[in-house]
Amino acid sequence: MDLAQQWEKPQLSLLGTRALLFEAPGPLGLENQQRIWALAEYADGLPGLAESVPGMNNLMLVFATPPEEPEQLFTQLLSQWRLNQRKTLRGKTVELSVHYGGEFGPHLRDVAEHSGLSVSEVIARHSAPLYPVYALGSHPGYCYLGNMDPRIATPRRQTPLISIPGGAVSIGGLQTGVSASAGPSGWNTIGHTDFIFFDACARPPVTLLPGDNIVFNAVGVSA
Amino acid sequence: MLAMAELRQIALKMRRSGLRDIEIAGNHYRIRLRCDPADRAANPPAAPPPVAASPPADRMITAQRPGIIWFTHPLNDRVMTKPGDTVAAGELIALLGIGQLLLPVYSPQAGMLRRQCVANGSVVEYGTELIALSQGQ
Amino acid sequence: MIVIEKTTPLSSVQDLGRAGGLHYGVGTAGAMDPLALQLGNALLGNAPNAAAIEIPLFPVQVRFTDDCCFAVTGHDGRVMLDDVMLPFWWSAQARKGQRLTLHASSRITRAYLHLPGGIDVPEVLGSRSTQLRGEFGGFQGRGLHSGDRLRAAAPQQGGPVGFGIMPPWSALGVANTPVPMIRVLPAAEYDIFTEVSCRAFWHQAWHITPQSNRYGYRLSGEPLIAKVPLEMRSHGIVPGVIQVPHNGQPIIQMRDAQPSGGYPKLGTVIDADMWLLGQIPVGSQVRFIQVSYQQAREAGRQQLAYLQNAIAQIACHRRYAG
Repeated sequence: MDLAQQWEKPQLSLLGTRALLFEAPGPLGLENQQRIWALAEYADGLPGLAESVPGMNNLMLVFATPPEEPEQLFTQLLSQWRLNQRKTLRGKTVELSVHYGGEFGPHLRDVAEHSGLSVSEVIARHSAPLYPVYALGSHPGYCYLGNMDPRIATPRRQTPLISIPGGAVSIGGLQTGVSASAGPSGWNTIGHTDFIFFDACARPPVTLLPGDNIVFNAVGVSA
Repeated sequence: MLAMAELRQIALKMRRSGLRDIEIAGNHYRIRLRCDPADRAANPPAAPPPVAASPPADRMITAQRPGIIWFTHPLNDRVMTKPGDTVAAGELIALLGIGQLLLPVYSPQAGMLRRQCVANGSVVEYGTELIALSQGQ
Repeated sequence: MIVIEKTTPLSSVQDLGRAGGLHYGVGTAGAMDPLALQLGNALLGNAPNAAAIEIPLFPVQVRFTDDCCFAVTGHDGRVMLDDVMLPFWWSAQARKGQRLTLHASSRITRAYLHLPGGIDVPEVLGSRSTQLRGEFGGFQGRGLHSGDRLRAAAPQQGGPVGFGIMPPWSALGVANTPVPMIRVLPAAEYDIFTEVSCRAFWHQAWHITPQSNRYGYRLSGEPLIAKVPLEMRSHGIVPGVIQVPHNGQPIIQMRDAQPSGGYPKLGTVIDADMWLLGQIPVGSQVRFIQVSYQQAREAGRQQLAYLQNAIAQIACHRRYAG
């Protein structure tokens, strides 16, 4: 159940004394994300905040020092949100070659089973859209993408896996994404790509930024 | 900065020599010592000790500054030394806690630790006897 | 310079962590016990953020290839310089050729080995901490192996050694509780858990499973049940966030955790207790206690005051001793 669709207004909560979380109401979409980007830019100018971290239609604000009255900050952010400002970012579109299924796509059948579709339909629906990069997070260079076909949405796994390799193409809930390096994951891994997302020595260190777009191109399938 | 040991030496010399007042100034400090003449009358300089024919007496290891004495580490009660232990010269035998600091108390010479004179975790003053060290093997 | 002679690959170079990279997906990394890091740095006259070697598994043995002072903080395991046992939370002088061996403690996990000026490794994206996922920062972006050589950033930095400090376990009164109590602020999804589950969270002693590490502490106990199964959108998180995946067993996000996640959050461990959590051994138990935002903020202030006071006392002693 996607709680956010039922909210009438944004939800604000605290992450200890270190950060606050602002979650936009309504269906997951690009318009909300553009409003989040605008809110992040507004927050960057506020005293006492160390960093703005957009997520999927949400925003985490990390405190430099914990504010005395977080409620005041909540009110301020809600007022700013109601101004309905949007930040449109126009970036590049990048094509990722993907090999679906097989050894590096162990959960492709689980996704097919959950959605009631055939494996080739899952692949077709996954590789059809243009995916905007909403935000980076999770691990260095990882892109959170919007626009996944809800027909292939699959819940995160019961127990997260200790490690999946870099380049793993996965689905978690309503979202899809590609791992930029090896690490743990609770998502359903359906394929693999060789694309490089991160270089610690480059400026910026990431290849893709919010406002860029990805398309997946199926170059191979293993049953 | 003058250490307490140096001040004690100066005070002893003052008493023996008859000097009444002395003032010492350093970079960030000034110290004044006054020796009360009545004190000198009541405590004349000691006669030299007789030549010892019996085995040497226990040497008392004393606190070099005020603080809290630890024979077992305050974190986990691990015993550092206990009566009966043989120690070498310069060996760590206890810790002296001053505020957050823990300073070492080293044995001045080789010997056997005879008895602890104060309880573990006690507050001690400059000169408090901490532990008796039997001299010789 | 030191040469690592024995280590597990879990030893790594850490400072206080990497800031400003969350929006690139770069987490903070950094020492699991930031108090030990800063106090050890103070013992040698280092900047508070100088890098040290964090050691969670033992024995670890290093050989000094030059005369060098050093300090060991964090745990209360045996510290041997050749065949002489040193007190813990202590600074000392090593001569060329001497070997330092660190052994495990049964109740405090991690030790920190400090060198003058800190460990000399390049700064990457503003920090010398090791970023394991992505393999950069620290010593070549990885844990340490035998044969690795590490340098002190300021080998000539002098000052008195041969003294120590009261560990935070004693100074903050933590050593007295048999099962450590960790303070937690409820998070956004606290109310989606059943009342029975919420009570169980606060009342039971949770077991820290062997699958716990710098990424996260996986706890086991009575499962926590949500009133409705939730699919959450990925959102930013910080170390200390307690996530509850579908199996109902909480995971506390630690220093190497992903900077974002999508599992329901029951609460967040307060910043002031993260050092303690980072030192509680795998296989032991932990309990949680609820606090308010203001209490958490006050705890942070008190801890900062303690730390600044201890660092000032050490600096004063270094200036006037010897």
